[in-house]
Amino acid sequence: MSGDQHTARALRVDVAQTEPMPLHGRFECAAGELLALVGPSGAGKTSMLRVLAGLMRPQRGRIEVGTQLWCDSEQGIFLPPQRRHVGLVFQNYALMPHLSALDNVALALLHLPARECSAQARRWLDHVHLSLEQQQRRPGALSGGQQQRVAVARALAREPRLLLLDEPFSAVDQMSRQALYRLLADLRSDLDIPILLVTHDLNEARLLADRLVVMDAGSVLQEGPPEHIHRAPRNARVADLVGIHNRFQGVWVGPSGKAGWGLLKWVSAAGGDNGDMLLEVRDKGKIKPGQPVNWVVPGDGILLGADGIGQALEATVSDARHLGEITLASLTLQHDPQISLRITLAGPQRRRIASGDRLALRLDPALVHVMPLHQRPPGLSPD
Amino acid sequence: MDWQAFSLSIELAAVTLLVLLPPGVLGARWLARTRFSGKAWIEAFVVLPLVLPPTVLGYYLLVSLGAGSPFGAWMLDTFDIRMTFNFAGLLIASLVFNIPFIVQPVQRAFEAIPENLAEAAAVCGLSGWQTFWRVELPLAWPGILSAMVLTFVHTLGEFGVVLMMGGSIPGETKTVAIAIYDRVQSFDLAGADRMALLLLALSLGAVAASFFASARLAARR
Amino acid sequence: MRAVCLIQRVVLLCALALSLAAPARAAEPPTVAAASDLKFAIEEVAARFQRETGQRMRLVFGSSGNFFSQIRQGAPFHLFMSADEDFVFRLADQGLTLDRGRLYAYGRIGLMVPRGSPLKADGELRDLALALRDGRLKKFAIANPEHAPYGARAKEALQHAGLWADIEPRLVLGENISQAAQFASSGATQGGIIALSLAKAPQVSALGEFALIPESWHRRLAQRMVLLRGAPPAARAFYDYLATPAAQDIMRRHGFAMPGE
Repeated sequence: MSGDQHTARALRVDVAQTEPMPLHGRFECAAGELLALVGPSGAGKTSMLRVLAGLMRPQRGRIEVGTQLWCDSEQGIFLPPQRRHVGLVFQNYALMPHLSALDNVALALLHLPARECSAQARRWLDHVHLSLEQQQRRPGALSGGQQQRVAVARALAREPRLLLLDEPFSAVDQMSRQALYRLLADLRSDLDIPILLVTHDLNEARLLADRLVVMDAGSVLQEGPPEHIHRAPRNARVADLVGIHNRFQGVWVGPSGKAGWGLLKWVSAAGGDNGDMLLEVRDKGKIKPGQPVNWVVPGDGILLGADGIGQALEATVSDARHLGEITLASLTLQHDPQISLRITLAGPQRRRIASGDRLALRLDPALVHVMPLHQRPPGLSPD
Repeated sequence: MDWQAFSLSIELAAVTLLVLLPPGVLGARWLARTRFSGKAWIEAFVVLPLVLPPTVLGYYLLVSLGAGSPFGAWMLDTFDIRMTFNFAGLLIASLVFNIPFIVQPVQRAFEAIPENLAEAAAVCGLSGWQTFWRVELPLAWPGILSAMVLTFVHTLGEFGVVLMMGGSIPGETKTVAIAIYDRVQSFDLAGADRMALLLLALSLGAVAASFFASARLAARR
Repeated sequence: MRAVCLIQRVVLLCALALSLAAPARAAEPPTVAAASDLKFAIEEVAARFQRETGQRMRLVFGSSGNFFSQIRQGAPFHLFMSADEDFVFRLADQGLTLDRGRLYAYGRIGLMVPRGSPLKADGELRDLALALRDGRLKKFAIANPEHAPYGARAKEALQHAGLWADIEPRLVLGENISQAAQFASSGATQGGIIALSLAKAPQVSALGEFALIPESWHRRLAQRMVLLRGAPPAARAFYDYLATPAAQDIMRRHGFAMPGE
C-alpha cells in the first residue's frame, strides 16, 4: 500500500477545551500505524479516546479521519458514535453480561439480516480464536483474556475506520497478555486503519507502538517514536513520565572548542558546587551559556569500565539487587556523593556487584540529552 | 368466598400495572440517567405516596376528583365521566399510590447498569432506542419484574385509599381488602379467614416467585 | 437474545389483558347505601325482594355519616337508608335527593356483654357504673358519635346515666355500629352499646348477653331513607317494598319498631 493511501485514511486530531476538564492536544496517526497514548492516570488519555469515539463533545476541536470530518466545533459538526464507525475496546471490555459472546459481537452487525449477522459474528470470533463452545457462553463464563478477545472481535466487527484500545491489557494475566500482543500484531498487518492504544505501561507502549503521544494533566506534551522520546524528552516532565531514571541538573557552560560540542556542568540537586564536574556533550546551539538545564542519559548511555569513549567517572555501589535476569543497582559518584545513578545490568554486562564496590563508568556523550529549564526554577520542578 | 371482590382486585392490579408500567419504566430510566438541580424534588414527589398515610392520600384524591370538586364537576359535565366511587376512580387512586412501587426499584435497576454498556452499544452503532430495548431493558429486567410483582400485590392489599375513594360498592369498588373488612364487620369471621388466607397465599406466592426468578436471572449472568 | 423475547412476550400479554379488561361493566343493579345496623335485616329483605320480583339489589353497609359525605362527593348510590333523620334532611336541603324521604323504622340500643366479661348485662347501666368505679371495666365499645347515629345515641344514654365523663377515657370507637358490635361481642372489650338489630342476629347473640337501654334515655333513632337523584325505577320499587307488611315483618323480627308503632 502506498504512503498516499496511508495518509488518505489517517486520523488528524486537534482538540482544545478547558471545561469540564482541560484537554489539549494535536496529533496524527496514519492508517496502519499504532499510536500509544501514555501518561499517568488522570492525564486525559481516556477522555481523548472518548472524544474520538464521539462519547464526549469537546469545547473546541477538529477530528478528521481520511476525508471524513467527524468533529469541527467551528462548523458545529459533531458526529454521534453511531455514525463514526469506531472500534472501541473498553478498559473493562463493557461486554453485555446478558448476551453470549456471539450476540455481543452481533450487536455491532445489526444492520445485516439476522442470518448474515450471526455468520459474520462467528467469523470474527473465529478470527480471535474463540472456540464454538466459548462463543455461546456469556462473558461471565469466560476468562479475562477470552472476554478481551470478544471485545476486540466486537470492535472489529464494526468495520471501523479507527480502532481505539483503552488499557486493553491491564486486566489480563501475563500469559494471555503475550497472546494478545501477538493478536494485536496480526491485526495490525490485516487492518489498514489508524490504531490508538491507551496505556500507562511504558514497556508495552515501546513494544507495540510506532509512535507515542505523551500526555499529562490533559495536555499532549510530546509526540514521536518511542526511542526518540526516550533519547530526547522535550522536558523534565516527559523524561519522568517515560520513566527515565537518570535525570540530572546542570548548567550549560558553552561551546567546548570542538565544533558541535559543548560543556555541561553537572550540579547536584542540593545545589552544592563541586567545581570540576564538566561533561563534554553534543551542542545544538540552542542554549545560552549560564542557562540552568535538566539533562538525561538513557540506560544504554551508561557504560561500565574505564576505557572507551566518554568521560570516565568513579562511583560506589550503594545498593544492588539481583533479580532473575537482571541486576538493578544504585551508584553514587565519587566526586559528589549526593548524585546517584541507577543502572540495569543484563546479558554480558551483568556481573556480581555488591554494596560498597567501586566501579569505573562512562557516559556516552552522544546519548546525553540536555533540556533547558525555561519557566520553572530548579527547586520547583515537578517530580 | 367473595370471588367478585377477588376478580375486581386482580383486574384493578392488572390494569394498574399495564397503565403504569410503560411511563413508570421510562420515567425511572430518565431519573437514573439524568442529573439536574431539581431532581431531588422530583424523587421526593415520587416517594410521597409511600410515606403519606393512605387515608390522607385518599382524602386528597376524593376532594380533588369528586363531583364536588371543580375538576370532578368539569369531567362529569364535559365527558360524563365520574372519577370517584367507581372503577375509574379506584384506578386513578391505584395509579397514584403505586408510583413509588414502580419507579423506585426500576430506577435502582437502571442505575445499577454500568454507564459504559450504553456507550459500548452506541459505539456499536445502536440507536438510543435499540440500546434501551436490547441492553438496558434486559439488564434491568429483574428489577422491573420485582417492581411489577410488588405493585400487583400492593394493589391487591391496598385498603385505606380504596376505602376513601371507593365506597365499597360490590363489583365496582369492593376490593378484596374491603371485602375482608366487611366480612369481619358482619361477624362472618370464617369467610374473612378464608379470604385473608387466600390473599396471604397469593401475595406470598407472587413475591417468592419473583425472588426465585430474580435469583435465576442473576445466576445466568 | 432470550431476554428480549421474554419482554416482548410480556408486553404482548399485557396488551391482551388490557383489551380484555376494557369492556365497560354491564348495567349493574341499583345500589343501596344502608346503615350498618341494617346489615342482617336488609339482607333478608333484599333476598325476599329478589325472590318475588327477580330484581337484585347491590347492598353497601357503612356508617350513615360516611355515606352522607360520600353522597355529597358524588357517590353513585340510589337509595340511602340512614340510621337517623338528620343526614337525610341535610342531603335533601342540598338538592341531592328526590324528596325528603320516608321514615322506615325505629332502632333501639342496648348493652352488649360478651361471654366471660366481668360485667352484668343490665339495661339500666347500674353494674356498668359500679364496674367503672371498682376497675372491672377496662374498655368499652360504642360507635363513633361524630358520624354514626347509633354512637350519638349511645353517648346520650351514657350521659343520661351520668357515666360519660368517667367512661370517655375507656372508650373504643367503632367506625360504624357494626364494628362497635364486633368489638363489644368478641371479648376485645368488656362490653359496649350496640344496635338491637345486630344483637338479635345469631352470629352476635351467641357471643354474649344483651339488655335493652330504656328508650327514654336518648333521642329516638328515627331511621329515614331517601331516593337519591338519578335513582332507577328498580330502586323506587325496593323503596316501596320496604313499606309492605312482608318487609316490615322481617324488620320487626330483627328488632326494629315500625313507624306508627
